[in-house]
Amino acid sequence: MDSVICRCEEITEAEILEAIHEGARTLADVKRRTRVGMGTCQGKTCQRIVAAILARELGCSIGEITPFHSRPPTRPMPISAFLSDGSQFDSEDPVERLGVDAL
Amino acid sequence: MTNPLLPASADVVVVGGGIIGLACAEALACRGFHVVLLERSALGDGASGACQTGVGYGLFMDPYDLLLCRTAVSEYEMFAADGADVDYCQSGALSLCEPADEQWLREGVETTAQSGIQCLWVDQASLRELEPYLAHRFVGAALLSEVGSISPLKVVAELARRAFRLGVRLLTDTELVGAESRYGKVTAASTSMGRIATERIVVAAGAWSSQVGRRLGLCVPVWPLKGNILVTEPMPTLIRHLVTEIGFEKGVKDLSGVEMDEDGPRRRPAVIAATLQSQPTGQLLIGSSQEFAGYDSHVDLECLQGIALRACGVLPALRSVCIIRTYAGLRPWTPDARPLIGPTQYLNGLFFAAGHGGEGITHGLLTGRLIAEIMAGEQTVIDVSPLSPDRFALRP
Repeated sequence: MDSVICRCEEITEAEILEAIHEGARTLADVKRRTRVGMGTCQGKTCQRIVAAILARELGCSIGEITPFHSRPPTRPMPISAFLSDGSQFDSEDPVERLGVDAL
Repeated sequence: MTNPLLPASADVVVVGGGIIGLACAEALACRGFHVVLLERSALGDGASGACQTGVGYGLFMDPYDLLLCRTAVSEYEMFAADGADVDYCQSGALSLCEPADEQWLREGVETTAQSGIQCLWVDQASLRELEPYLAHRFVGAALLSEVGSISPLKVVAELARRAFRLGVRLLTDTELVGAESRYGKVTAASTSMGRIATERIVVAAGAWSSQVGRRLGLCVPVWPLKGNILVTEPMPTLIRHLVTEIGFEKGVKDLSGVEMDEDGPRRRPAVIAATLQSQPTGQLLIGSSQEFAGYDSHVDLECLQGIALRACGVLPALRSVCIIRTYAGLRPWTPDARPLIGPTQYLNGLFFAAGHGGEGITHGLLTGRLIAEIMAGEQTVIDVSPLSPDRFALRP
């Protein structure tokens, strides 16, 4: 039975193996080919498992596998946290209220 | 360092392993050329992996650019019909109209429709029906129903697979460092892994094409125009179309007055407008910004904040949604907003397939086809003379 390795994007071990057999050599290669680690957890769960599969297939140690590029934010963050003051969004028409109409 | 796997010779050396370079390699290999592709890092590591996903056209384009885009979209239709699993679908695009812009946008709709493009004015009530979750202030929208989307990384993977099967050598972690020439004609490509004898080189290095050009002694006017993107967690579909604020069109227009310094466009504050696109995964891609900031591709917090603010103003339900990832990419911008496609008089055997601005994904497959048609001496599917690299003085 084929195990699901990346639960967020529902990527199985067979898909990861296929990517490696097509030439993927780093975690970023596998990510670009399969979307592994591109879901909600951003690879927090699956990164080490995928690294272990890569190391096994390439015959190297896990330490030699280059990690994902880490993209901010580290944890999922409400979009309101990007706004200087989220409370202003109580308004019916936030954009007008914030005066950002002028580009 | 010499790579024992490096071929001693090739009919064509393609520089760049994004959608454009891969499309060129694949199309050339289809016509029997022996192709080697050089990618300095990994396939799809540049703008092809750090972009949005729309394929299509915008309002206020001139007739030639519209024709170019339409031809490019039909390449994707054929690609999908040929079994390429790249998530191609025609979702349509809506340019949202602020109250002050109604007359201007209505005129834009009329002009665009006259060029034979499916473009409709949608009034406020119909807009509410099409996209019920948008903010209520918009007085209407322009609907471009043939605009679609694809998954760029799937296009990269599919083109790489097809190119590989056709015998293209895909060399990653390999850079072009220069070219050898004799009597003004290319004779070899010098790479970081050694020399490849060849009579043809295609530069498809996106925003880095000016850097590659410098190694060939040419001044190529392709510069990085940075964009920032936010990705949401997967969620129920809030919008069905590619939704853009009209400021996006204004921003694009505004870029025509760019001042140039010796090392590229003068830096200036980012132009920001919300563009929202649902993904097949349920995630929403939120852009976008346009900024000259050199080759730095780190995200810019101020831009992200500006984008978030405008996006919430367009789609208020976003306020409670989580952002899981942000990234920035470098569009290859040219002074006249058109790509460089074709040969150059400055060096016989050198071709460019670069400078697609924000439309590299849309134009990717078509560019590959055009380069292959030009090299094989075939009639091109569309007149390419307006795209000639020699409209710029590459050697001042």
